[in-house]
Amino acid sequence: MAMPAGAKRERRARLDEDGKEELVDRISRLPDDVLGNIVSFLPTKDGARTQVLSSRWRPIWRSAPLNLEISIAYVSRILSAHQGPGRRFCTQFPYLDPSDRSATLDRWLRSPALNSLQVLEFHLGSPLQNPPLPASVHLFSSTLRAASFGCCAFPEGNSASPLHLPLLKQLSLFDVRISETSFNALLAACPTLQSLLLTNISGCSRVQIVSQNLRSIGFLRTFYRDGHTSLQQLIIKDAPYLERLLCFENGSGMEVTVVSAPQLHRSCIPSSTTVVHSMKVLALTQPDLCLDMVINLLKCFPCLEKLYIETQKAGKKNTWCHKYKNLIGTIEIHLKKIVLTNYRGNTSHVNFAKFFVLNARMLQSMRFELFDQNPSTAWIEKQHGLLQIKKASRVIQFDFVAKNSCSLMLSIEFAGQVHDLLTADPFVKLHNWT
Amino acid sequence: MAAADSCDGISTSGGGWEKTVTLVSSDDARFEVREAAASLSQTVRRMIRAGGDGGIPLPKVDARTLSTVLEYCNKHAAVPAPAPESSSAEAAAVDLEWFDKELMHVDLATLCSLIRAADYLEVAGLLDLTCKTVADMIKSKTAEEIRQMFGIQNDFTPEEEEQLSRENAGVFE
Repeated sequence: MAMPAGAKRERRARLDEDGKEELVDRISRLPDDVLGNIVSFLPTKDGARTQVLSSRWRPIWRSAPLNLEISIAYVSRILSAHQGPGRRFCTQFPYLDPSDRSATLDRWLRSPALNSLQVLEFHLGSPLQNPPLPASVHLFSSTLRAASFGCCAFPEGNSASPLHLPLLKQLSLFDVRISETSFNALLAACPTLQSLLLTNISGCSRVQIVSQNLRSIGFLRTFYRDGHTSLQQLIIKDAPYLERLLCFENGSGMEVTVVSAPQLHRSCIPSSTTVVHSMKVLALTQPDLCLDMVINLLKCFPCLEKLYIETQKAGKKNTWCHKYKNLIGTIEIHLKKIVLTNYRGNTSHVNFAKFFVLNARMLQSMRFELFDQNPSTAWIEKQHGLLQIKKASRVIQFDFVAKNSCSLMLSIEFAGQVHDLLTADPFVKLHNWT
Repeated sequence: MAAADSCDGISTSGGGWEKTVTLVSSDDARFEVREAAASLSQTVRRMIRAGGDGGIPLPKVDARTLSTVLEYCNKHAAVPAPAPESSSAEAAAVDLEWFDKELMHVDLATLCSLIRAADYLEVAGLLDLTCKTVADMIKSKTAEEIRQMFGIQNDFTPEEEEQLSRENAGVFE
């Protein structure tokens, strides 16, 4: 960040007078805990470096809440130099690390420098092995606000004491092995959880979401793991405040089910029997655009406002005309914005788009991110023409644009979108749309 | 209610009445503020509860600094509770981010006054915002650059300096 104008002026004044009048050091006169707060916002190296500024600054870093994110080679040294408490600890082991990573991490976590940790993020390296979750994680059960556990196995059986994280708001699990029972227990032990990210989960084929505060779920499956069951089905059993579901996967077969169901026609919605009215944003990847699946999801989430779909293939026919003729009137579509990524303008994709043009009465914007990076003006004209049908909403704006380089599906960055609950649209910042 | 003495009321744009309080700066300037905004300061909130008349005295904050603090409080207290109602909440969040950014375009002396005020008044959001601003100035700079920027005197003896660099060798490069 640039230096404020005043600081420049003050320094200039000092130089003009040939060093006689020194720049007033206002920062160093701030109270210890304020300086500590400043230091805690710094990356580890920058924070530790403040020790060498002057004798005033020398003791600050050691006692300010530690923000530790550094190469594993330096972790032990820093932990022994700091007296604690800790604020944040992020660490990632190399992919091929022959040592007992779980034991090393366990030892670190027991260091006084990390007492009262609020944020803990770790990844134990190779996703092909799952060392056990270090038992010392329990030490932070009353302080953790955000946690990301990577590449470990949750303890199973009678000897396993379940984690209880009463203050936890954000939870990410990357390459983790966990049984369905343990997952349910974990979720139940995080009563204030607001956002959950599940990436490459194995050890269970399905999980059930029962959570009274959860607002956002991200679900990513990138590859199949030999010899382990991998998570394929997400069942939203009871999540009254769920607003967002961001589902991304490379293969096929991911399934979202919404259970427990008062007022819905069971016949229309196989395996989905309840409605989540709180859901506003849904993002999906589909190898083939599949109108059936999207319509089923719309029935589960009748208040949905924003739909993001990224597809990969040319798609199946999506012949909706006859099948969904009678839908109008039976489902109310509240979508305001639809974004289709890798749109090809072929019959399958046009049919898919047409369904929403005809039926979504509140639709304001349809954005097509094109598969073809250099479409001709004539092609875009033709696409506009194909969609000039009897619109359900008078104000739909169509935008045909080149695909953003940032693919939803391939971007692990979307992890951040899952936890960013400040903006109602998780992709606004990512894509910087107007 | 005990706070009644230091509370007045003003009509809001919605036509209703909203409770206000009067804050008095170290240089005797009086600020009439919505109680909801003033209560972002834990210090003020405690004083409202304690009651008293003639306004709440804040002897450690001058008028210029207090007006900036209140600008922050007014803006942040206006934001509806986090139950995002689609685009309006989104716009509000983006707007707030811009507001915070603009508010931090001040010289170093003002920034330090704001930090002291936020610390004394216990406005957690503003304290974090100002401390983060200073942290961003420090980030990725060498010790000498930081000393120059803030006017920090390096008061270590050469022996102490050597010891420090030995202790920290390898970690901070």
